[in-house]
Amino acid sequence: MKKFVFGLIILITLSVGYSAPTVSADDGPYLDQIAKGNELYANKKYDAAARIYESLIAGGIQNGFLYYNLGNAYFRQGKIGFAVLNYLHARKWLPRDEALEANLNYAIQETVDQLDWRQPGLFKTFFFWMDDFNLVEHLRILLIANLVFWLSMVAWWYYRSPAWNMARKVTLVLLITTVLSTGTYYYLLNHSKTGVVLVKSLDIKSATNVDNVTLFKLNEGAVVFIKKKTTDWVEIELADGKKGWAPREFIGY
Amino acid sequence: MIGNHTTTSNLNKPIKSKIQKKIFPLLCFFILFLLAPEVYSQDLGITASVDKTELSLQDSIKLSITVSGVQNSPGLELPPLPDFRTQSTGTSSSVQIINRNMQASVTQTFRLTPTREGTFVIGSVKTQFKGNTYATDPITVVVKKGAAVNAKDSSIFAKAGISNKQPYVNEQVVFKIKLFRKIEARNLDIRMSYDNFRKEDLGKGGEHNQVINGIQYRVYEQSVALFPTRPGVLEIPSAILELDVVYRDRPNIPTDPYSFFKNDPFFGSVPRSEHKVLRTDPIRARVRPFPEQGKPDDFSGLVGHFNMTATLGKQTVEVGDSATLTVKITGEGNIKDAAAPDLKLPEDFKIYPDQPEFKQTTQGQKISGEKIFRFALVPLQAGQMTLPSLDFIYLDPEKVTYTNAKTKPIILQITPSGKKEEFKMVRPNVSDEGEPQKSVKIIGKDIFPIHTRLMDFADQRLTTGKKWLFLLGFIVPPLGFMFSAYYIQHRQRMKYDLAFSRNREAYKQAQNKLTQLSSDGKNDPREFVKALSQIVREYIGNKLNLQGTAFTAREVESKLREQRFMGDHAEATRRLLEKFEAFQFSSPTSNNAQTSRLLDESLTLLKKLEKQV
Repeated sequence: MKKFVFGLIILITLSVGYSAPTVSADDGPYLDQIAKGNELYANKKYDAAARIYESLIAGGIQNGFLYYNLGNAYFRQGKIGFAVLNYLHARKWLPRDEALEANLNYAIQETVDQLDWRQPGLFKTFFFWMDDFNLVEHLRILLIANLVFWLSMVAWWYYRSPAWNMARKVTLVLLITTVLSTGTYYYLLNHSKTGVVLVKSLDIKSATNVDNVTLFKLNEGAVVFIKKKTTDWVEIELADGKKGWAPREFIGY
Repeated sequence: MIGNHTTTSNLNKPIKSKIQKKIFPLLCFFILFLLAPEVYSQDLGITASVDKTELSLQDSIKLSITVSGVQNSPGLELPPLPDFRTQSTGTSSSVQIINRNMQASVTQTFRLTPTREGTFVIGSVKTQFKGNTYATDPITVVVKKGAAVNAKDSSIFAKAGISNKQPYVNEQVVFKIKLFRKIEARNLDIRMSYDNFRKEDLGKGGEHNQVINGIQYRVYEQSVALFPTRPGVLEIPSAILELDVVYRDRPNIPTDPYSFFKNDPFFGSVPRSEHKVLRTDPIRARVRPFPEQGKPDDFSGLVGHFNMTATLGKQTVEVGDSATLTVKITGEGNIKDAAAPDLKLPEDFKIYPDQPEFKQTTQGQKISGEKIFRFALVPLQAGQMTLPSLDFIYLDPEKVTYTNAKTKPIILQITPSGKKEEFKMVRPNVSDEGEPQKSVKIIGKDIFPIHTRLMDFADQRLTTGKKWLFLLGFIVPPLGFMFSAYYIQHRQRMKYDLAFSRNREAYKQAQNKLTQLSSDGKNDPREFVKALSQIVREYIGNKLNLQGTAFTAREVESKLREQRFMGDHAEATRRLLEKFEAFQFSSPTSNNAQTSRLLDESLTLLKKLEKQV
């Protein structure tokens, strides 16, 4: 009975922890669309390819490679702002993809402002690994840390040795750290938005009105951090602390 | 209690009045101070003074700048003091009321530590106030070398040394500073300068005890790793150690009943501190150039002991895809200076070097570490490619030989690309008008191609089903722990708590024995009932943790009642046991029907007793 329960726990955790996203028969229609988009892209019909990728995303499909291909399609059209925006979207799903990282950095190098997309912050310094995993991976790590902690608790309960006592304390610290980093990641994912300037040049105003003072200018592809949103305006902040307001339609996020 | 209370109240009265008497003028003074104008007298003045005009290199000067006529310091402009290390040691202000005239002044003090001997002029200290400039008179001070500090007659002194006085260029030497002291010292600040050497920290210093000529010293030791950057006779200048020596004046009055309080800093014995500057002797090292004999042209300049490895992220890669080549150099020595290896790859590869990663560690007093170089390799042609072995040459200072660190060649299979994007060097072109054009201009750099493997395009959203699964995966382990904990505890109790295990096993054992008794088919009814009686008695003994089975029916009833069994059950048990006894001593004509009735009765009773448990 005990072995059965243990087996069940490990099976559930690992099945959730290690299940990689795979295509199924239901995915057939949209995969055809992706293949078609790729075909158009290969034939240098970047605009048409981008439209197909966009329609899939609008239909609810969320996939890092889809955003990556869309970024490439925009880049080929010279739309650096949209390219950077979609690379940043792709990075949420593919945080360690080298090709994506290279394309994103290259696209940013091509912008006038060349602003760093990495959002600074105390949390990111403390949980330095946070940006190297996507949400699902964070949750998987959390599950494994949770399983390891409770297994060490069982072992300690059974053996009551100093070694297992130390092991459960260490795994508890590990679990707490993982909970905090996953929670922080989830919070930042939902509350801290990165935006990209989508127009050639954009005046950043002191308040939400075009008649207000222009504080500074940003160019296409500049990466900004969105602090507040109103119906028509967004408050943006740069890594160096500069703040201002921009019309919402010109900032992609 | 009443007496004590009264005494306390009486004591409070004079204390309160004393406090009020003291606080009132202080409060008035404070209010006046706040309300007072910034300048109390039109005669603003500035003066500078030093505590000594002649000093040795082991001393420091206290420079006091007093600005009178102001409440707050208007800001001082110090003259350049290149021959002194200047530290601000604090600001004090004073206000005096003499004949209803308030006079205020602010004094700012500095500690000047000479860096060399000679005669120096401390120039005018200036301040600006309401458009006027006020300046102090210059002060001349003479700095003498001072007597050498002898270990025998000093309570505090410093020494320095290096591990190797004839190192090679780039070879690590350990420079060690030791502070010997017999007295208490605080606020140690060590300054070292190393022209012609590159410095690496070897961690925090440590303290230990050392006996020199029969005198025990507390020794603070700090080491740094130095790498000479050029050959020749190089001097490591004197290290300067600044510290505050603490003297505690102990009253030599053994008969004083309050000496304990006087010695205790809490009760008023304030320690006296003196600022001291110690200098170590300069050290000369004869740095040898790299040996010319056998020196290869491509010598890396690294000196120490090193290894190099190379690994490739994938062994098979498609044309246009990337594979990461990781080259790791590890070892002891000036590994920080390691340069990126020359990959010597054919033109069929595009190479994207990454920023090198450097980790430094300290083992003992040796600087070691690893430097990792990563390259994204993008093959442009299909086929089998061999990445040639990489090497670099370093100097082994112990063997005085140039050694070659080498990696193994790596074979890479490059498969033709599927339907891949044409891999060109392009960038978006922007017209002068600012409108992006559709054409591209070849400049020599490019983005990586699109991703085409369809199976990677699965929807990565966190679906509701998966969210539940994650929740389940999070909740199940603690539930499993609770179950296991209960099970383990139960097993432990069964193992070590005899009464508990007898109680828990009683019914099972009785059932087994009854089944066996039925199947044995004993012919003699009296023997049967005897065995039946034994089983029931054993059951009761196990349940109540009684030793043996030689208890009477009355005793059993009483015990069961004590254990809060229902009165009916206790009585039924007694009656059954009495029946067993009666049957065993009855006439041998008893039949099997009676025995089977007794068996049924026993089973029913055991079930009832078990249920009640």
